[in-house]
Amino acid sequence: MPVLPVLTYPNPFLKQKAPALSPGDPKGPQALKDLEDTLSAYPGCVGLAAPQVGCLARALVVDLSRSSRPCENHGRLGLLNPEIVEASQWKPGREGCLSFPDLLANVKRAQRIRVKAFDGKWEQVDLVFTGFEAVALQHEIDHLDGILFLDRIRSSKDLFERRKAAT
Amino acid sequence: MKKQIALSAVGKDQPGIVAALSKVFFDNQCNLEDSSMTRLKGDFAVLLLISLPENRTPEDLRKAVEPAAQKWGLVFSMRELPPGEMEPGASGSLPYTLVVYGVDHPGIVYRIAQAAAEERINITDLRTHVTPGPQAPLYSLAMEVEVPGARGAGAFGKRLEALKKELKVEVSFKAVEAEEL
Repeated sequence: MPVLPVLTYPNPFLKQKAPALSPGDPKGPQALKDLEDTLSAYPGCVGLAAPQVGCLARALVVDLSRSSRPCENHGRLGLLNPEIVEASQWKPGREGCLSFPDLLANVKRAQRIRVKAFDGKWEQVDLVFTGFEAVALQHEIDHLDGILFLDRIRSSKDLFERRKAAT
Repeated sequence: MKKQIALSAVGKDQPGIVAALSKVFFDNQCNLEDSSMTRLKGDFAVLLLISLPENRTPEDLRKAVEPAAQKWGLVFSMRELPPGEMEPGASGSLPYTLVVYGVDHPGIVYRIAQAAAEERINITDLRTHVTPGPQAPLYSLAMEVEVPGARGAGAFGKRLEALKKELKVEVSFKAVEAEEL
């Protein structure tokens, strides 16, 4: 069960676009396994994309059942070559990212998306996500394109330092 | 004619600063208009516009603010706005948002702001943060700017591309989108 270190900015992996996996490539399911093991090691983290652990592949995991904000979710889900085919109900919300541990930003995301992808067995899936789960998916899919949440800020008032509780 | 005063104050952050200052304005029948107040690390910084009632002079206000500033450890300064400065900035310019982030090193703000100034681009709001970062301190900057026309935006965009490589930072420069609902 390898728990991989999560890369932080300015690691160059984070700004690269990951190439699509060839269907059936065993590298895909392996990446999902590594991502799941790594996600489990970060309490409160609801999603990870392969480039964040130094793997340039279009693979991600989300698990909104771990969220401190209760929301509708599919539980733990690993997706390969995900593609957003529909997006609607755009709304801003505040996000953080393991790759930028000290910053938060308001980012506008669709509250309803439809995603076509492959699961860990290379079976095709077609899923609809809503609310915070849709937001998490968009954040992770952005990672596959080398887009970080700071790239999506639309106003100077949308960037914040994460205030840590005084110890 | 209505008199407007610009006041800035800065001092060690503690609960009660805003209450103390706004009490002075309230007691002197001044209106608190536009303001921006924020905490920067352990200091609290205040920038505000106040309009004075007919029966008060700027000097009256200064005398009223002084004891509060002393009590709360604030360094403050104020000036009366000439009539021409009481209106918002020039119209016809296009609002853009610029976000820059990268490993902290001297000169990021200067080089970006200098390029903006040379393209006659006006910075209207600027926030910067230095956060520790596990590998190296991260500098992040977000600003609102007014661009004099689409050609100006194109020229500045090209200069930002060059600066991005030179300063080794990430840059995003986008027109502000507003949705009418």
